[in-house]
Amino acid sequence: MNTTNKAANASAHDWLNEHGDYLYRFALARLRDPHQAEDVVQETFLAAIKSPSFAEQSSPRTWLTGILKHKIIDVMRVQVKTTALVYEENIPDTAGADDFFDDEGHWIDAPMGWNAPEGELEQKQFLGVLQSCMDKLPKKLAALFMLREVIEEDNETICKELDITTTNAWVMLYRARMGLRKCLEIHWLEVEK
Amino acid sequence: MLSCKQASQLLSHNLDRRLTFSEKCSLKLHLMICKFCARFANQLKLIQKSVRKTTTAIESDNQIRLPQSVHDKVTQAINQSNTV
Repeated sequence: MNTTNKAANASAHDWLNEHGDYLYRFALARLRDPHQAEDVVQETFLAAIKSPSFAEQSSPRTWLTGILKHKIIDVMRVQVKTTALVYEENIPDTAGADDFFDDEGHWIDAPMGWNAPEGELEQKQFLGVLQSCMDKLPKKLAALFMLREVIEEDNETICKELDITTTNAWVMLYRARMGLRKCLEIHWLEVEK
Repeated sequence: MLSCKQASQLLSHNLDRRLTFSEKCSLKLHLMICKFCARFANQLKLIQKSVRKTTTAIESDNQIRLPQSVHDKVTQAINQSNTV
């Protein structure tokens, strides 16, 4: 092992110790799946140590986060592109939004009034219900929804990466939000009772 | 006059694209007279806010750490990458 390699080796270990937890949280916050988050963090480090510009990084955290973000988007892209639009039980099929509206466009089940969560405990419960509703969404919709809301990419970028039209993306995001809202209404009202 | 179905679609689109002036006007008018769609609008906003809040909460939760198994695998990979 030559001196440069030794130095690089040492800093790679330092990076893992200093930034590993942060990168894992960053990934988990966006993918919401521990296994996927573990995989992308591992891939990020493997890509980083192989990169020729490895030794020149003055701000490793920013650099690593940049690599990680691409890996996360890749995972979501695969989910949007390759998973079928399969609905789990309990979630109305929002395919044409027809389950929600009658022929004249009136609500079939009008949105009920539910309160925004107040206080720390209620907040936590609400976020828990929201997450379980996200897990019930078709993976395709959930991944697109997260790309939009959490990666905060603009629509054009998302559509280019996914190779779908913007109109198609708007329709899918609409379905995702309709499904989420309905699921929340059912399960949050249960908690509130 | 917008139907509730159209209004709900515009409310969702509003989070993804800029509505046209006439879309905005007709949506505003609809929301003034339809309490269900007004509710729907607030609920969409709450969902958006909450999803982002969860992201921030996970990101800043110091108790969440990279699992040791992943740490070990990466450590091994680093060692191997430079022993050639």
